[in-house]
Amino acid sequence: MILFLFATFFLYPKDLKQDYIHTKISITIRVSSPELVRRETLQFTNEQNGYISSFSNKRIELIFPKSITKEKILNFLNNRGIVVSQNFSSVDYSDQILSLQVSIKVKEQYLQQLNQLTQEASLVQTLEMEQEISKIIEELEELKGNYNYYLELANSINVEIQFIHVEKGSLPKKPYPKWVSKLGIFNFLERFHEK
Amino acid sequence: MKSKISLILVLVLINFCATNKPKESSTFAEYSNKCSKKIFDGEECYLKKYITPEGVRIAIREEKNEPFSNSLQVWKESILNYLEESGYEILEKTSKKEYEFIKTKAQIKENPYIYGVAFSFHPVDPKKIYLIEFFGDENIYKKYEKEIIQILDNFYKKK
Repeated sequence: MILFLFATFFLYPKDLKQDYIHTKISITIRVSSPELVRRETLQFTNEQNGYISSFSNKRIELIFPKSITKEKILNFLNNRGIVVSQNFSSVDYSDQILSLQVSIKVKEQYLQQLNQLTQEASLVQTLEMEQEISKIIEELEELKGNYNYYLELANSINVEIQFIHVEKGSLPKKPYPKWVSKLGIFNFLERFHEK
Repeated sequence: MKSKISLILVLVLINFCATNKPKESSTFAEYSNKCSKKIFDGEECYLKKYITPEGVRIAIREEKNEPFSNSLQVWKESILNYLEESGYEILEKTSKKEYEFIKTKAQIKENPYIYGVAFSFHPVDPKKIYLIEFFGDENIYKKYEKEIIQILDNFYKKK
């Protein structure tokens, strides 16, 4: 019983309370200069220690470290166009990460035990154990790969931005109140010198 | 008694200093020929117009709050949509204490220009909107930005 409690204490992951939630934000933004906004977005991503996951003329997918808040991202985009839609989703990877942590620990201990046994084993037994050891190392590497993948997901925010281009100089599609539709540089200059 | 007299003297001096404070120099020239008659289907003239030697312009006018809305946010959304659809890039949209502020950028023949709008309801008559427009070449605008904001702040604070 004491041995079981002892083993549980050491095998149990110490960072259980850590937040392993991955956030995904999808934003559609209407801009008049997508090229400019794209450039500024990439600059902003660099400044925030993020990186590009995928890129096309109408869509960018970015990865940011978890330290950035979604308000900061939205604030940046809000100043560059009209955000038409925004969707947020979160996935909790705690189960996967904790289960992988335990599996890795168990495999590492097993590997250690096998290594100790090879020192006392005969030649035939050693060869058999070597095969077992390489199999365990392979499994261990795969587990560590999966663990790092989920850990990186949990420590990042995925931001997908879709651009809707508004043609410069195009006429507004909706009818606007009279006083609103009188706004704009050309109307302003015309009125300025007449009135 | 002496202390009372000195206190009065100090107060008089403070008052003198306050009333004789030199006026802030402005780089904006103010138009004085504000027209009095109504032109163009009942629209009123500008209340104030300013211009700089480089052509940065500010104009203040009243608009009818039509169709009537008692929410500035409705008009803010409408103006933002209109400007966006007309090809303006929104640089700033701020809700200040006294007014709403929108700053945009537009390319005209390769040159970037700043165009902005500030608006608020008439403090007594909500059927009217006080609207300020400003415009200038982007590089020149930067030079005057502080002063433009000061003019907007002063106008809406006084109202």
